Amino acid sequence: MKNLLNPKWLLVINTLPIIVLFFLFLSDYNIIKTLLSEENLTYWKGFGFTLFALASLNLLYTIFCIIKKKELTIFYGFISLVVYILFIYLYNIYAHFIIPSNVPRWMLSSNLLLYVGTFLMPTLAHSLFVIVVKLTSEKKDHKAWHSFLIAFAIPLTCFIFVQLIMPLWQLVGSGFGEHTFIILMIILVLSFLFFLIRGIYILSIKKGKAWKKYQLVWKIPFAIVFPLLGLIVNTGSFFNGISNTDSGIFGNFSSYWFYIIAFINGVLICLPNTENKIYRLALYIARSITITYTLYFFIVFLPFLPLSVIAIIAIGLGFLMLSPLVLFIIHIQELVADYAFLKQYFSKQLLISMSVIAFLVIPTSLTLSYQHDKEVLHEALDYIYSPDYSKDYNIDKSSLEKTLQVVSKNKDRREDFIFGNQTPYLSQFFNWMVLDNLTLSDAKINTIERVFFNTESFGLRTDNIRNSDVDISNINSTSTYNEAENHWISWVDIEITNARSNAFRSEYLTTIDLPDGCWINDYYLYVEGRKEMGILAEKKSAMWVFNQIRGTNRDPGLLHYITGNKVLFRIFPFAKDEVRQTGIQFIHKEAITIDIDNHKLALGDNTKTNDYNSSENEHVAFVSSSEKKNLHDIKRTSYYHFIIDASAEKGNLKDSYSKVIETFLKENPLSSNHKVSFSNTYTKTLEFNDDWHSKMDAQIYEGGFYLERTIKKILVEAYENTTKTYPIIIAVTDDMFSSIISKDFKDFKMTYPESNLFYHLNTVGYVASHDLTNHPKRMINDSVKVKSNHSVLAWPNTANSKAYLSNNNEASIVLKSSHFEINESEIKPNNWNSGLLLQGKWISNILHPENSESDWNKQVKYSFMSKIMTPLTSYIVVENEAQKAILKKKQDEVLSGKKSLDLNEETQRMSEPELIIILVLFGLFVLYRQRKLNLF
Amino acid sequence: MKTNTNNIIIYGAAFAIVILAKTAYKYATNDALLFILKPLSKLISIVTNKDFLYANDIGFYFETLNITIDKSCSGINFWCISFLVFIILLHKVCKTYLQKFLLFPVVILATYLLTLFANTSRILTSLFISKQTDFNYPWLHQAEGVFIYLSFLIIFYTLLNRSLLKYHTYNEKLT
Repeated sequence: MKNLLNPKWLLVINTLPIIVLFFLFLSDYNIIKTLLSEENLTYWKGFGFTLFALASLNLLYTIFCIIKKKELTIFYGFISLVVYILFIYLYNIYAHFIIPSNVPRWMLSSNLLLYVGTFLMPTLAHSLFVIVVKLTSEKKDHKAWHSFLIAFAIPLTCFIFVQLIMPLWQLVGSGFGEHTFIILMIILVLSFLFFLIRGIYILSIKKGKAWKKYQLVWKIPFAIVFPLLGLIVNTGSFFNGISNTDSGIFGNFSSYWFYIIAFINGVLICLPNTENKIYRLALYIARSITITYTLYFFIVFLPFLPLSVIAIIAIGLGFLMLSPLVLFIIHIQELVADYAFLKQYFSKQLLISMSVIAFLVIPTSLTLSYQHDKEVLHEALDYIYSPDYSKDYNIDKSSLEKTLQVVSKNKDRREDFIFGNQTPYLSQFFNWMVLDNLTLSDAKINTIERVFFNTESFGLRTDNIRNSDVDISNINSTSTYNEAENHWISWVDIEITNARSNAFRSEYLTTIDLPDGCWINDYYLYVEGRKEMGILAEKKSAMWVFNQIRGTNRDPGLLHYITGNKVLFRIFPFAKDEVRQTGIQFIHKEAITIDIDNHKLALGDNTKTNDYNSSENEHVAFVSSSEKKNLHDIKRTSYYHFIIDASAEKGNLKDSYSKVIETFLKENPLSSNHKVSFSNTYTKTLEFNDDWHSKMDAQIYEGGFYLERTIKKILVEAYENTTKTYPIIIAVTDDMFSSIISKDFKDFKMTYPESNLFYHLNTVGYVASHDLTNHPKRMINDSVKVKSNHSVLAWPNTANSKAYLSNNNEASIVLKSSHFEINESEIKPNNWNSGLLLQGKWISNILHPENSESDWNKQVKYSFMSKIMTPLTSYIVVENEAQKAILKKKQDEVLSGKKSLDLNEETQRMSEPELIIILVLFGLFVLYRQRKLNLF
Repeated sequence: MKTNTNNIIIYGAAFAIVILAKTAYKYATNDALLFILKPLSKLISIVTNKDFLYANDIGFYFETLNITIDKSCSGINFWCISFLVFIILLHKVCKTYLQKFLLFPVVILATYLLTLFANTSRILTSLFISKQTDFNYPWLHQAEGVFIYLSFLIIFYTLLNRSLLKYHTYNEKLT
């Protein structure tokens, strides 16, 4: 312990933590600086410069002591202790000026209040050690029990004081009384810690026989019992009975690894230090591995040391908070003893290298485990949101479950005491490493949980939209034909009135079904008498801006695709009796009829245009309704594709499945090659032959019934292999309601030209029809006969058909090449052909979501260039100039990049290695070389 | 003791320069780092015979290689370390204050050239690995960078140290 008087310690204990503290504050400051007022900034500068000055003085004093080869003095101990306590004290008083309440807490990386305590506490503890060492002469015969007695008398006195005298003391409430009370508490805490450390120090310098002989008497409690007891008490089990919650007073240490390592670490500390060198080497390595654990808890509990006295007074268990400190001292002493012993037999370099490697074992394992979690999470997200339908996935469920738990806990706003359900420092590390400091929406977590684990954590709230009395009071349209480009431009002007009698602000919301080949090209909304034109923005940012504005009762209007060609149209707010004007511009090839909130409007006139209105380019074709009238209809051969629910706990339904399928085939005979898919988290597809029963028996029944994925896979595969057969989908399950379908299949409508229907065959044998385009889980009719004689139109002709189109009077779009790149020069503003290319690209991404991410940037950019809204973009009207500027800036940024400068995910950055890595490695080399030179 | 104090001043000044450089680097844009990024990109372009495009927000983009050379690739880390190493080794040779202070600009320039060389070599090796093999892991790129940088540092450190040792022996012989 005397070694602590070496001034070099200050570099590690004082300078280094303060540098780290500065960086932590700087990174948060850069984020929140725009939200700080002049007054706040003054406090930031004041405290920043003070700490800088303190740290500089400390560093100068350290350098001075190193040069002069002097030990630290007791004056340093006193001055440092008083000055830093004063700093922390003042910081806590003015904390609300430094981080004002208007700064959202989620913007800050962590608890900045606690950072100051954590990073300055080593200095305080060290100062106290210095004072203890200086005041406890080795020459005098001090009695350890004297110090312990005084140490424990302090909380006892306080307890009596709090219980008997304080109720009579009326001054506590006033400002003066409060400060006096806190200062008194600080002095008491310091005195307590002083005598406690002094007691331990006296015991350690005496090294008496009795001390060694009975070392297990104090080692077992501090190394094994108290850490384990502390972990249990932290969960609150002692107070609430056996608790199952994953949270604790000081953080979530519920992972069984904490208990296992605590026990192993305790045992390693307690093992006897024998003279056998191999045994001692093994012990040294093992203790070096677990020192990270001791160090971790030492750092976690450092800021709470002062609380220990209060905890002793309040609940008597405060001594548990001291055990990380005591354990840390014991652990270091054991390592030093091991090293001193082993030095006689092994080289210093070997011992140091071994301990460094051993020290890195736990952090490295943790990092590798987190890295694996990250890969699994990304794979799971890809599987659900940008899947490759032709690929087989196998995702590590236990890792995924762990990550989801952490994400859910992060979202839990309930904070117990300081860290609540977070694991101090490790949670931040996990969030940074696995989640890139981002989070997942409740809906996404629910979907992943349902798909992989057949459970869900969040009850999702639906938007409470008050629009029952807001209706269209007047609607007009004007269409003009652009002869040069052969397309129609139609403006629909709408007047909306709020008939609601109360004063609540209402919202207008409706959906518009656009025919194929018709896109939204412009939009306006009157805001305070001004006609504000819509800005085309990336969909997610537009929706975010809309919700922000909606939350503050301002004036936004929004248009975006929700599924297939269905567009959502929202305007907010409507005051009582308010009338608002808005308008949407459509670009379309042929005359169409559009339905807006039950108002049917005819846009364009086919008599004024050429015969067919069809259009085609290298990649996409638009088949107009007039052209479709001239196509020949054919009937393709249908086959059944059974989807069997193989989710968790459905294994016992195997017999029922076989029975109902056989009965179904007898009642609805079809002489073709059927298929069967077992659907749970994954989809396994087989030919429906005699072997399928044994395959069903071998199937593992787990996870959720991910019907959406199976249907999409079937549709995409059937579409990509254009043949004269088509599947009739029959979902075989006892519980259709529990199947996982998050959205309808309108996006995939080109893949089922025969019929929108699929069927549900339940375990009793009833067959119900469902609609792929509208609430697929909702039944249309029950006890129906399966229809199989649908006709489709062969395009371009029956002899050489490249696509099959729905046999109806609506235009269709045909994707000629499933993968293609858009040539930027073909994208022009307000141009119908650009819309067709964009639509083709969108369909291509629906069929191959695995490519959509890398194409995303270009898709948004092309939408901006053409001014045509696509499912990735959104038209928004905002009231505020600043909001408009932000959206415009975003748009300009995307548009300004030249084509060749568009970076995609694969563009590699030639980043150089981190400074610290090179510095450490090169430092080790120099150290090694110096030692080698010294040896010879 | 006086030598010790002098050494501390030199080390302090060298560390202060490095901290200043790293702080300035933190806030620097690609435009501000053109003095190091442009020659680097030119060298890469000459060796690979590939053209590049430049924009402040992206840096130097080699379309055919699908790589960018921006702020994070500037070599500032290598420059800082090599600067420190050279100063620490060479200041002992300087006898007068003037020499010691002239040493700083000379070392800055010398290590600038060394950085250009080491960084070009790092990027070219990385390109070779990613284009000629199937190993496309981000960690491999980092590891390769560490390897190249360390090799350069160790070679130059050893060479310099050896030369200095010879110089000292020669001086001692003279005296």
